[in-house]
Amino acid sequence: MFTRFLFLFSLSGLLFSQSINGFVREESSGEPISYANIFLENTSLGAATNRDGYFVISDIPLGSYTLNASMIGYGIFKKEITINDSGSIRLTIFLDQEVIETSEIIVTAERQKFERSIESSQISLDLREINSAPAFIEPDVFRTLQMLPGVQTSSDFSSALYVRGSTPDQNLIMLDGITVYNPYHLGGIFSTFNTDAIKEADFHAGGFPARYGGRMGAILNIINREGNVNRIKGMSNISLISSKLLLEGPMPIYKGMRGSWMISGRRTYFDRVIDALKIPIGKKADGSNEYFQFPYYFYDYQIKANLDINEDHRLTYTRFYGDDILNWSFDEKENYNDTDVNVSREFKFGIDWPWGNKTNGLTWRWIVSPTIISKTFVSNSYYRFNFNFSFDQEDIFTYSDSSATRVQNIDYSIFDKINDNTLETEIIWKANNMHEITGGFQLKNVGYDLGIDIEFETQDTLLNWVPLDLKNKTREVSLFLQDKLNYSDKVKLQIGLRATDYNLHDKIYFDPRIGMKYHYNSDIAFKINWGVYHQFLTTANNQDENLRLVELWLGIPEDKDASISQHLIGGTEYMSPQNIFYRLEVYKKTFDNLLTVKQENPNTFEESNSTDTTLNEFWDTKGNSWGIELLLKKSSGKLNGWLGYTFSEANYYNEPSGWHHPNFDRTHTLNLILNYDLTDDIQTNFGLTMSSGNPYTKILGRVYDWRQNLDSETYWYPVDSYIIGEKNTERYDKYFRIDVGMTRKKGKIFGFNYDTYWQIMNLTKHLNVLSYAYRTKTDPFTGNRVGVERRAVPMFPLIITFGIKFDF
Amino acid sequence: MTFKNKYQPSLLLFLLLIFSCIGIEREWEEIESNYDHVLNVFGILNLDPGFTSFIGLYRTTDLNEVSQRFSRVDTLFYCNCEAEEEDERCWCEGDDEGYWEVDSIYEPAAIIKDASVFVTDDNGVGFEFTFVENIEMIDTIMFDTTLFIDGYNIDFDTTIFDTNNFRLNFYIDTTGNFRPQEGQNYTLSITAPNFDPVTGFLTTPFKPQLNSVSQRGSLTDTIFVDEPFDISYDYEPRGKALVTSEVMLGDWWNYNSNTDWCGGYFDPFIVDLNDGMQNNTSIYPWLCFSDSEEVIVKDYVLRLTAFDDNYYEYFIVGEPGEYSNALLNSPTTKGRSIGIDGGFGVFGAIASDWKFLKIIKN
Repeated sequence: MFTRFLFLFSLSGLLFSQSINGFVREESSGEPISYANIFLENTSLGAATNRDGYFVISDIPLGSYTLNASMIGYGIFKKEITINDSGSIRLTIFLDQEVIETSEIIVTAERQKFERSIESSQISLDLREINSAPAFIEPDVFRTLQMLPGVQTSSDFSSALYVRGSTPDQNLIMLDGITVYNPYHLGGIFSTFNTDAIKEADFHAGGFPARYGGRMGAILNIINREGNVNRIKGMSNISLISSKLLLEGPMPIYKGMRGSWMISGRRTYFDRVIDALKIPIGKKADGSNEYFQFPYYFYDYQIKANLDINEDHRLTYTRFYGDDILNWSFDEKENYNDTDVNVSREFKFGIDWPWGNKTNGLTWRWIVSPTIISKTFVSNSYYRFNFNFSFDQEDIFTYSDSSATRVQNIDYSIFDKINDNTLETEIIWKANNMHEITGGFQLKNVGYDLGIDIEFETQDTLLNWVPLDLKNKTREVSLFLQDKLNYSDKVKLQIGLRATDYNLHDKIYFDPRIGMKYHYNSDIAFKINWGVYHQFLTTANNQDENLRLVELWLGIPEDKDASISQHLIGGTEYMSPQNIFYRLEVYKKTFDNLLTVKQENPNTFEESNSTDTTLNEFWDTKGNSWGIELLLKKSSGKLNGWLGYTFSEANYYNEPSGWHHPNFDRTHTLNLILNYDLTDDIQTNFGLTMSSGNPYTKILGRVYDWRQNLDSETYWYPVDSYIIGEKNTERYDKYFRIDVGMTRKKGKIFGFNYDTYWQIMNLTKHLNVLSYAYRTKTDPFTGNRVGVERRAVPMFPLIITFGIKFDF
Repeated sequence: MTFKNKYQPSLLLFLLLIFSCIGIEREWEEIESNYDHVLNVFGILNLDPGFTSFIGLYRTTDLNEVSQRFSRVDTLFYCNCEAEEEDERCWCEGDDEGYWEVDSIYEPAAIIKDASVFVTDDNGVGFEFTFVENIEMIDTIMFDTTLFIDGYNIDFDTTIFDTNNFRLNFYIDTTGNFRPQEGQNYTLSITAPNFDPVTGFLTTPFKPQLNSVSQRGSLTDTIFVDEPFDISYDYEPRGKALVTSEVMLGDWWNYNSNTDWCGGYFDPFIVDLNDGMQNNTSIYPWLCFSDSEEVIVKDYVLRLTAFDDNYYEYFIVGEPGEYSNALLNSPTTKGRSIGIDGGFGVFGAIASDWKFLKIIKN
């Protein structure tokens, strides 16, 4: 009886209502437009486009309507539509970029997100916002995110994201949905993402829904451009550190299939410039000149190709490849005579250190029906870090009647490799205006290989020693289901559950996620989110390090539980009629089963076997964090930007340190980003950051610490050691930095358009303390220690950078 | 002219001129410390005959305190410039008749000399330890005090070993009645003016027995470099021990012999004395790569040192390096108390056995 009722109900719906669905794209390039507003005039029916530019308005009663599509920065689209019983209507709407004064209200993306989003702590940054924030040498999406409330940085030298008490390894960083394990260049100073190729960056600081899993901190999904569907275009950019090129264009039409492609690449050029300058530094053994070679460079390139097989099926291929390479070698030859022998020696010393990521992904999007979209995604993400040190020496001894060769070769390498193969499917079903149900599964196979390999070779001996050999294969199989429920006009709910089976543990991990939004009126809303988050991998990095060159990833071992975090977030949002977005959020997070790598103990004689080193020995760690965040964001107009303030506290606990603030914890943080269009072709930007100093451990006094000598003699000797206080109970001086910049657009040279830009970082040359250097004061006459002095090690000084960008 | 043509170049030039000095100035500043000082105890009970048990007592110091203070002058000897016997003469200049050779003695500023120190055994018998300055040596084992240079026999003064750096002033039992026994409990109590009292406790280890050395399948007292060898030791009810070695290079002025030597070295390692299944172990010394074909024989000492739990915790396990700062060029500690209550330091005990061998390199 009930089943018949449902059937009749749905059938009656079909008979008396239909749906409109389709895509909204940019007229000139064909790029999908996210969060465009689609509505039927004089009704309450409407929708916003998703990240793919897709929208669906369902349950439309039969009749005639005027459909509107609008987005800030584009002209308004209107079309007369008639809904009858012949079926749903599929549209592709193109919006033209224009800045026209109009009396009609154009809804911004912010308004769309405000009205429709239930998740807390979510920010989407488009390319304009990423490029407009003050940049260190060139725009960087991570450095822009660091200016948002709730996101902190450990120092100016790091673009890593510390989000609400979570360390960078707790964040899931994706490029077009593919996990990127080491998203940094130059030891963390830059992110590995070329902003010229970015369409938008979707960032969740916490409380993210059930479709995301495997991490406890934040989610960042960077979406690359799709490519221009109409014509081939390009741009190039030369900054102080790198040169970039981007090309995009349509695919040739084949049997009705259309598509687009985008290729972008970037490379530092300093090494090439130095090579070309041929700076002599001496002579080689053969008498030729030896020139200085700059040993480091990085590069990355990205490819994205979309193919619309028909209006319902699309294939997208994404590839990213980025590497940092440090390569330096030195060789020398010499000949000399000793008593009765001539010695010929060749000596080589080298460091070869590549580290980087390689990702490939293929997505199949299928619009099953106007209300059902399916995405199946298969990807591979490979990260490797491979430090090699080699020392080779060959001596040839020539006697009057014989000769002998002595060889000594040492090769030392430390490496970390991750191979991640993922298959996932997501199905979004907009059942009706009340329910949007999303479900899916993910199969993630990750292989870890972390090791140290030492080889020693002589003319008659070959020794190989592997002091560290950690191989791990993990598998996460996850299922998730969530329902976005429009309970009433004022109340929206999002309830989800994610379940994960981790192959090294004998249990299923459940992650419930609940969110609720209450619209007090059309401009004010209240939100609350709660969720449980598990993580199945960690890093073997020292969490105290101020400068992190690479991440050393490990899967959670069998004998340790998966790391877990709970997020509770509450907040209120206000969208003013002038489209200024205000948000006040309070959050509380707990962490457990974290793993902090044990630092090397220089004094221990503990017996060790060949597979144990401090890299895989951990302290069990737990923690908590809480904070209050305020955000004011204006996305449109001549003056735009945001103001963010955070009050936060993070606490971690492990056995040696007890409860302590982690190194990145800053109590107060104020960020102000302003962009102002001075004229049509001159844009200025201004950035201000003020925050509490990072914590550090104070030195209190001195004490004798003892060392032993137990061989043929027995004695002990004192070592004058510094007594340190409780960990991280002191703070460096306050952090303060002002950045300014200007972009001059619409230049023309040889038929090419160009923009020039310059930036000044740390305009006031404020001394921001990275760390302290210490020195002992000694009495010049007696050599006694008479005191300790310290001097600040600064972060960025004043830096002026500039660059030029071409379009063609 | 538009804004961009008229003002932009000027603005850029102005900014470049204003900010032409890019560096940030930094000054060294003295750190003050405000720290409530506590006693720092270094106490070792040595079960080996002829070795002195001692308690060293210090305090923590402020950062701006001197590390060493002048204590006194130590008269070493009189140099008689007019001595008739050639071998009694010493270095003189001009018309010097003679002079006293003296040494300025410094002591740690942190040293505490006026404390009351007692060590009590299981039977409640207390032994008072008295402060004695300038203990000449802790150990004389294997230290040949006779040198022979250019036909002259020289007595090597082992007090030279006791330099300002190693001049350790200790509390010791001056009566000779204190003889620590194996497997016994001992309690330490210290009271010093202006400091909270400190106590300590330990249980002494059992004396280890390093029984034999074998190589190439048979017992030996001479081992060959570059080949592994086995040692065997007695089972003890509990405890761990450290195996160490030393090649006695001895005649250090014999340049060729010592520079050509290699072999016999290995990283010290711990053995479990109460592992009944295994009371022998194989040692794999570092390989020796030498061009010389000369056969050289040296004295070789193997040592097995057992310790109590406190000594093991302090010296073997060590302190977790939970604080590191690459720019701090001295070690750091939060202040360790191992076997000590009420202050820093360690109260531990050791007992050793030795094997004196020869080692051959060819």
